[in-house]
Amino acid sequence: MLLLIFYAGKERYGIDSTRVIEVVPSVSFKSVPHAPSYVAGLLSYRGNIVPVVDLSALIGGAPSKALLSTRVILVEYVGADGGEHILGLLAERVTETLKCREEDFKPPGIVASESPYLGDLFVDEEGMIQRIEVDAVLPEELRKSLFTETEKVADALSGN
Amino acid sequence: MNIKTKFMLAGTVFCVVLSIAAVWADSYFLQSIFFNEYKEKAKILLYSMKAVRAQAGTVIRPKATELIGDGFVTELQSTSYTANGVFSKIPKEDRYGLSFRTASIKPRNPDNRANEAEAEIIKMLDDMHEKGQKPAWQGFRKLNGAENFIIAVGEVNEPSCMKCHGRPEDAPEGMRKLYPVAKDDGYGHLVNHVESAEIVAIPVAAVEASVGKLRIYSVVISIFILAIALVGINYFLNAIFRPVRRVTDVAQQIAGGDLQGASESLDAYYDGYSRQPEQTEEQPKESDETGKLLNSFNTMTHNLNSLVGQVQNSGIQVTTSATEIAASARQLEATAAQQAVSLNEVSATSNEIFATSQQLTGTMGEVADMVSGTATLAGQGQNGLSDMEQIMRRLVKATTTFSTRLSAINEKANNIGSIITTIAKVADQTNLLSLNAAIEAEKAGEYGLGFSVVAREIRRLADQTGVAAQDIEHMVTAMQSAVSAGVMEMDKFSEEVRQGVEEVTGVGGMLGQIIAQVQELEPRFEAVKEGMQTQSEGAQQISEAISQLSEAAEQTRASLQEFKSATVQLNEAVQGLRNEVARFKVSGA
Repeated sequence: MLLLIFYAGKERYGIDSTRVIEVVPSVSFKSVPHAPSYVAGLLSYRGNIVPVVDLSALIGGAPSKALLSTRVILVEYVGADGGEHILGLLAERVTETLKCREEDFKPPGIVASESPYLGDLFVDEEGMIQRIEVDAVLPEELRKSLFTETEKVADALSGN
Repeated sequence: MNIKTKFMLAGTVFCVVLSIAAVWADSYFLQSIFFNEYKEKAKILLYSMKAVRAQAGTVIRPKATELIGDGFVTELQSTSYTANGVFSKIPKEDRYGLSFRTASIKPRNPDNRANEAEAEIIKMLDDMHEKGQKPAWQGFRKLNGAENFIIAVGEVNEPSCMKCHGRPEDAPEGMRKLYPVAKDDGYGHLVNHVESAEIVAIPVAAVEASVGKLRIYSVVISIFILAIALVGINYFLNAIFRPVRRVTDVAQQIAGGDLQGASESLDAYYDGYSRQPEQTEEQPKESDETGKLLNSFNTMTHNLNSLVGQVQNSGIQVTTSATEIAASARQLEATAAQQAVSLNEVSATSNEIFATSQQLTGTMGEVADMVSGTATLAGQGQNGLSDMEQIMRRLVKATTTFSTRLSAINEKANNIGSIITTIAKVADQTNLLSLNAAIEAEKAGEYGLGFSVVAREIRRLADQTGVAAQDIEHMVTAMQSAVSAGVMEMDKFSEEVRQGVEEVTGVGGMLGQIIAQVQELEPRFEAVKEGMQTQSEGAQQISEAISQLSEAAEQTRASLQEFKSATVQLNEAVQGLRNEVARFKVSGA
């Protein structure tokens, strides 16, 4: 199992690489007015409009810094409509992968209702890495509204 | 005790003494007169008796012998018998107390036997006769226990006497019958010897009695005269001392200070005198000493009156003046003390001035030396500055060159920076690529294993490249900032150097001016130094003068102290004088 490592604040987190479509450089996003603060904006990826969620803002509260190592992880995401979607996760210092085994993960023992996306923990020589459950990243309300509206927007775009 | 009493006493004593002396002299004189009188009487008696004996011996006895023959009749033939008989016929009261005896040491009549004293006298007379002197003696002797004056004349035995008084056988028959020879001591007389004497005795007591009677008279008379004399003296003294007493009373009033009373007394005296001139027996006539004395007293009293009045007034004035003087002296003393203090301060200040000006003189010399040294140094500094100016100008050029070079370096560094950025981007993209490759390899499963290793290696290289590029970038950035800082510093330095050059030029000019001014200063310093010297001397002189003045002030103060005490004494003296003078009651004062 390959974990894509990123940082939110000073903590290390990991995303299962099987869910990752591609890591792309961070570009300037189309901003979404009235969206929650952890929504970085919209990204055009190979003709698809991809909503981008800022993991640093979501987990740590502070938006990601504009560095070369701050990249957008594109993941497969099953929307509320049941269709396959692409979700962009903006994270800092996305430069490393880590090879590990599924059985080495251990549950954290505490799950907060506000952060259901924080999964099991893996321990290496540098400390603990928490796995991010991609499916639980977005709140239910947002997931519904997000992808229905994107679909419409995408339709509108494709229609043009 | 007043003078009159003294005079009276003295007069009395004198009179009494005189009277006693007179009485004593009188009685002595009387005694001698009486004695002489008695002596004369005694002599007359003695020689009368002798004459009687002579008559009996030379006239009656021879005739009787012729008639009687060999017989002996005592009444006719004994001279002693005749003499004794004549004496006994003199009445006792007419004898004046005198006694007469014919004493013999070899008497026929035992009644005529000389007693012890008489025998002694007879022996003395015999001795006198033997020496060729007249056998007569007079003097005091004690007879029968009473003091007597005795006059004795010895009988010298003649050869004719020997018939009856020689040998008994030569004596007449009748005599031998009448006086038996055995019992008769009348024989054995020696020729030319004195063996009997006529002795008249004057009892001293009788003389004394006569004298005593007269002495009583004399004393009575003396006392009488004394009494008269004393009464006379008293009268005389009264005549003298009554006016004197008045004067004395006035003098006592004057002495008691009652000048007014004295004046009134004198006036009253004069008034009484002028009103009743006939009643005052001791009128003070102008010519009289007492009158003159009274006049003098009057004048004196008036003069004293005015004098004492003036003295009293003067005393008050003097007291006032003395008090004022004392107050003034006190003020003066206070002023003098203040002066002394001020003088001390001035002296101290002037000493300080002296010290300071001496220090200043020294300092001035040092300053002058320093100034000339400064001028020299300033000259050297000016030369140094012009050298420095040239060096700085060169430095400005060099700085400009250096700045240019630095700009070039900066540009190069910028180039390096862009290259590094490119490298960093490449490395980043390589990393991204390797990431995606790794993900893809993972997705490929076992087929992607080898590729995943390659991807990891690529990513490591990319990471290393990125890190190196980052390092280089950091270095370049540091260099660039250093260079741009250096350029800025250089620019600033260059500007400062330029300013420095200008300042150096300005300083050089100023130094030139300073040198000129300092050179001008030198003679002035000399003048100032001389002035300071003079001032120092002046301050010293002032200090000495002040110290003399201070001593003078101290002396003045001491004098004032003395003056003050003198004033106090004066005041006391005047007070005493006033107290003394106040005793005088003054009329019209």
